[in-house]
Amino acid sequence: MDGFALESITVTRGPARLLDGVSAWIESGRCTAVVGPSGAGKTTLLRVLNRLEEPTTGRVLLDGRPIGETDVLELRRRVGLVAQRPVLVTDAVADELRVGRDLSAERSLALLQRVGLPQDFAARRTAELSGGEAQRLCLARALAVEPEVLLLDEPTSALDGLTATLIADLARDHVAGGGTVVLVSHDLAVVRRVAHHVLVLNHGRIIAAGPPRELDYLETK
Amino acid sequence: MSMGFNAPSWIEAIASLLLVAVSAAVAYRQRLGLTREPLVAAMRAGVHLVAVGAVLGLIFAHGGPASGFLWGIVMVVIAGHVAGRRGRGLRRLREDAEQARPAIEARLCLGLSARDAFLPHQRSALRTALRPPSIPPRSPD
Repeated sequence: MDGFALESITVTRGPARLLDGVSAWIESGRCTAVVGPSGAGKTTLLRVLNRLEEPTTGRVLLDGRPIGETDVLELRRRVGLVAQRPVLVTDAVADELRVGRDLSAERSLALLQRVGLPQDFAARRTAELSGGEAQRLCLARALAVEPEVLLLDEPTSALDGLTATLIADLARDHVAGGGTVVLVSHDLAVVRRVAHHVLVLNHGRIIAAGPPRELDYLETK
Repeated sequence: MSMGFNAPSWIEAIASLLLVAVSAAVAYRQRLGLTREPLVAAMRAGVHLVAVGAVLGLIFAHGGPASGFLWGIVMVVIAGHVAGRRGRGLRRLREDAEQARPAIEARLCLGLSARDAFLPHQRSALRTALRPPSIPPRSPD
């Protein structure tokens, strides 16, 4: 089976154990949600999947191959990450979509449309954007790379309800197109709507896993 | 009393000038907008050294132990001041790198190499490293 296999992943920083012996299976072509309280290790788990963070012990396999042995640039093009806090690295929206690659004007406009931003947005300066607009632009920027796997860290935290629905639909479309989504979210309505499988993390450990409808964690929230 | 004066050899002088040329070349190649500054700073340092050398020559030739001692105190104060400014520069360099971390990670996540992801900040870091202490900082690209 294709996907990520996490084998006893531990990540320590100083005395803190951010992840503590996490073993899990993240199936390809599905949406896996990672939920849990703040500080549970959700973001660290995402960062391990595209090697922004290296495990202290344990290993991660993608499609049966240890990601530590794959070319890291190729891995990060295959596995795109959208961080919780939007970080824009250029002055113009059009330039932001072209970071590291050439992109036609038509493709740029299509990407903006896909994340619910109007076409005239391409002419805007990034400094003028609201938090929600910047978050959507970061998502469009990640989609420009055409990753197989999308790692979304609280993608709807800075967005209004309508746009959050749009992002949830986008995650579902990505999966419907054969892609994989790993979604960290506090928004349990979004999790119920898009996730096929849920991992519940607490204190760096997986305390429950299963389909959304079977998890008490979701039912009691 | 004869004045002992050890002038630098031509090889030493050329080696010093070569180091200045290297820093100017790095500034030019990285488009730091600082190509002139190392040259100006080197010329200024040359003038300072000649002036200080002349003063030292006069002190050792005509002054007593007291004036030598006073001159030593002046040198320690100036050196402390310069070292303090350098320390602030290094602290700023570290702060710049910490602030740049999210942007560097954002570029890494888009599949850029570590070198390309750090490039805009490398310019800023090199500017800080190459900037003579008296030249005020500029905002990064």
